[in-house]
Amino acid sequence: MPATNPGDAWTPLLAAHLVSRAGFGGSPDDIASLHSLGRKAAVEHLLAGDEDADMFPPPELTPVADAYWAFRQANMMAEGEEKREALGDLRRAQLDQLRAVRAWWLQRMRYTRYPLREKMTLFWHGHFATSFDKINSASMMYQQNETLRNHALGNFKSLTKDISRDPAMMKYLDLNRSEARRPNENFARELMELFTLGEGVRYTEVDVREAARALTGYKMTPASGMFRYQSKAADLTEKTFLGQTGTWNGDDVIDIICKQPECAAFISRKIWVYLAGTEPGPDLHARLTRKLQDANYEIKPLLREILLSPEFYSPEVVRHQVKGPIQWLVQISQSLEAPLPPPDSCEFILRSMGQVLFAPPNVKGWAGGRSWINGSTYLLRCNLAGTIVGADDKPLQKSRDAIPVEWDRIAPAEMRKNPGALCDSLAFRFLSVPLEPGDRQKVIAFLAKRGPDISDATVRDCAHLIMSTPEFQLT
Amino acid sequence: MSEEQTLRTRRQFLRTGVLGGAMAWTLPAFIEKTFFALDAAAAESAVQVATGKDSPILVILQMAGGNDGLNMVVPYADDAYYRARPRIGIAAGNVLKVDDHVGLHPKLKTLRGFYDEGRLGVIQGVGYPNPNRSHFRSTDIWQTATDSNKFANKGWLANYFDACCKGEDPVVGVSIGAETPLSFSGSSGAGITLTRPDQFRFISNDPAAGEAFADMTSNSDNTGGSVQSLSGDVAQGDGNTLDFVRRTALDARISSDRILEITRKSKAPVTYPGSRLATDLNLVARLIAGGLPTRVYYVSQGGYDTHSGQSGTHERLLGELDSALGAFVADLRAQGNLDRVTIMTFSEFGRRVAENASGGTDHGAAAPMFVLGGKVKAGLHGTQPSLTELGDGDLIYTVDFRRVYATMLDKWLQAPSEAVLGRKFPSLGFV
Repeated sequence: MPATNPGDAWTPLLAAHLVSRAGFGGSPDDIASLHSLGRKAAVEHLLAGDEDADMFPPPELTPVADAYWAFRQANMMAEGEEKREALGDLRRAQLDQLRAVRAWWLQRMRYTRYPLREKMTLFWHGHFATSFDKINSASMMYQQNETLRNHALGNFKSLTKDISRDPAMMKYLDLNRSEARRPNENFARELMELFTLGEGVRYTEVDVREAARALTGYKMTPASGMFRYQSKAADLTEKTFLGQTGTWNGDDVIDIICKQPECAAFISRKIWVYLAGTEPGPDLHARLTRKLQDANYEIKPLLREILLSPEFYSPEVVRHQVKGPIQWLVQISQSLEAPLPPPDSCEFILRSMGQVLFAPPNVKGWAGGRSWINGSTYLLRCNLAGTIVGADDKPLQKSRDAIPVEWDRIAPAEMRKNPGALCDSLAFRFLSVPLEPGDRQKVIAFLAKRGPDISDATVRDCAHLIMSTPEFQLT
Repeated sequence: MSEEQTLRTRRQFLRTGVLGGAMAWTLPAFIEKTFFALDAAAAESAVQVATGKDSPILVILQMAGGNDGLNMVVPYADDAYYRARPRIGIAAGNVLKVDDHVGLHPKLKTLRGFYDEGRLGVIQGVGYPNPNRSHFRSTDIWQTATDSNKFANKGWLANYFDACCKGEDPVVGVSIGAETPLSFSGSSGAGITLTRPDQFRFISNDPAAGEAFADMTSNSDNTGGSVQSLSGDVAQGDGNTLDFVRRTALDARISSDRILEITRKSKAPVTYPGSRLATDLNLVARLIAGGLPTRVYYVSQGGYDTHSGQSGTHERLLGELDSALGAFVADLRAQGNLDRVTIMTFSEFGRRVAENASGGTDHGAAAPMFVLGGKVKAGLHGTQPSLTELGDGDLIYTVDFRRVYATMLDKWLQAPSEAVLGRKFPSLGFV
């Protein structure tokens, strides 16, 4: 990179950039304190995290075994209204518990002292996408979430092996139903196409079938919901996979895949795109791929390389990523130094915007990037922001209370005497950069229209306007 | 700000962008010329160039996940079908027969009625060479109409919008749903996506905030500013993300008032079932009734990825499809618009001929498509592929899907298919 890169100087804007990409944003004070550390220390701080293990006690969930027996009992009832009701009650109970897990995770994203770990857990959730719709068990989804979190900055190979034994994933991609006599290709195909190599890269249809044969014998004990290897369902004969012949099992298949440089290239690119929002250039991509290979698929060295790279602070990257709905929501709460909306509001907001935790649209996860924005979601984002701050009396859904924001803290009396300063302060809080000159004039004109005394409601509506700009949709 | 002013602003915005060179999207030269011409003449009448209110309409219905074509249009006279599917095959006695060889799934009763009335065409064996069995890749192939080894970022409908609808009305294409389909993506400014019309507007207690919002999203001064100056002149093929978001905001602003107005006024003359697909088709019918100058509507029904326990799921989905299309066609007929509309279904692939051990089917290749409407030539089109001569266990296509697109373009939308699809595909006889 040329030395004239504006990313060379460590500015509050770049500190804000780092905290919004390696986490979910922060208040002006958070950004100032990260800035004061200097770039290197700031990155190390984010990589280390300092969260107590018991900071976020999980919600109470029915153990998988109990739910299994309850469903089984209901299923054995005679057909009729009573049975339907019993099954319906059980499903609703699971869904209520799942909502509690969602709320718990959002709180964790909002208040964690290890934001990079939550950010990467969200990445892996989109990568190893699994939806509750087919699982119907809150416990299993929570269990998978913990697996993803434990490995979030760990080792990709171990993570992938653990995911192949993860009950929710096994159920989602029919791995537990794959048998030697008729292997189900669903997991084997997605393992290569979506999880490790990329569509059609290095492998053929024959490799999919061979891998499917190797990935047999993966079962679940229904009563406990635990992984169990059943050798009599496994195909123990010889397979030829990616050119190598042997009596491979599922872990062998994952090891063989990870030996392919294409796998390191696929994963390093995807993590870069997730954090930077752009495609890596060929040199950078080669550098990141090598880092991951050399580290034997340890993820932390790759993240350090990314977060310290000059490219990460280049003008093509800074302020050019579309915020996903979860980023949008958690970051609003951070910027306003206010709590998240209540759980059912968050549920409604994220569902309307198209990113429901534990319910990705399909096994490919959320497409992300520009796909978050279209005419419909754009206006929705403006209106939901209005609902969240209370700029709308007739919110999109009934009984939606605005979140409590201390507007006098956000805009102290002194600042309100100078509409230009107020406008600039809000712009930094929400955008990290000044407003467009044209927009700035319009916001100031709007403030003038509302009269000489700037009330909390005026500050709020002004914030709503800034949150409705195209710029606010980016980070 | 009136709609007229907004449209003018949009034109200025596009033009400034072209001249400024910092465009998010590249305008083809002829469109650029059109904008110069429009701007010079201030010809408001040119706004709806190819989008007259009597023009034909295409409604595309995506059956996402890979619909099992063999259980939708069942070759009940072929023993090989029952040999391959001992558990999930549909008994000949239950098939809604349309001739001596094939018939429809028992849940497709309304569609069978349309077939008898002469409104439903079935195009058999549709696919493409070297089929790809990935959902995502194969969907992309259908959405971009490329060869299976070629990649494109621009959708085939975006090509159609740019080549044939040179106006600047973004509602020429309307996709219902949360996500914009790839077939709509990459256009120089046509195509909008919406979910709920009552929320398709900016909402605030203070009308002054609404006015400020309108000004800010239509602001033609905003072509270079703080964020952009940070990025300098980023000459990327796909343009800069901020320009993309701005254009989207502007398109939404322009379209929202009209769409809201139309959907408030128009009420369905028939009762729709409660499914998501039916709700979406009801919205399409409202927009058609309201005279929105749209040429292509896009709706989607998901859930067809039936790897296990297929029978019940597939039955439910086809039942939903049948009842939703039944209500939609009845609605269009009551409006007197049925002759203007053709519905086309597609799925990224069919499923494997042989069932798997989980009572389901894995990803396959060729499958049938439905075309439905007042002017469709009903009956069976194309050739049913063999159930015994297979390619990797899958049906071998007999009709390239781009022949179906070409037919829709040439014969239905009256658009030059070669310009849209990049080469000439022979037409079929279903229109």
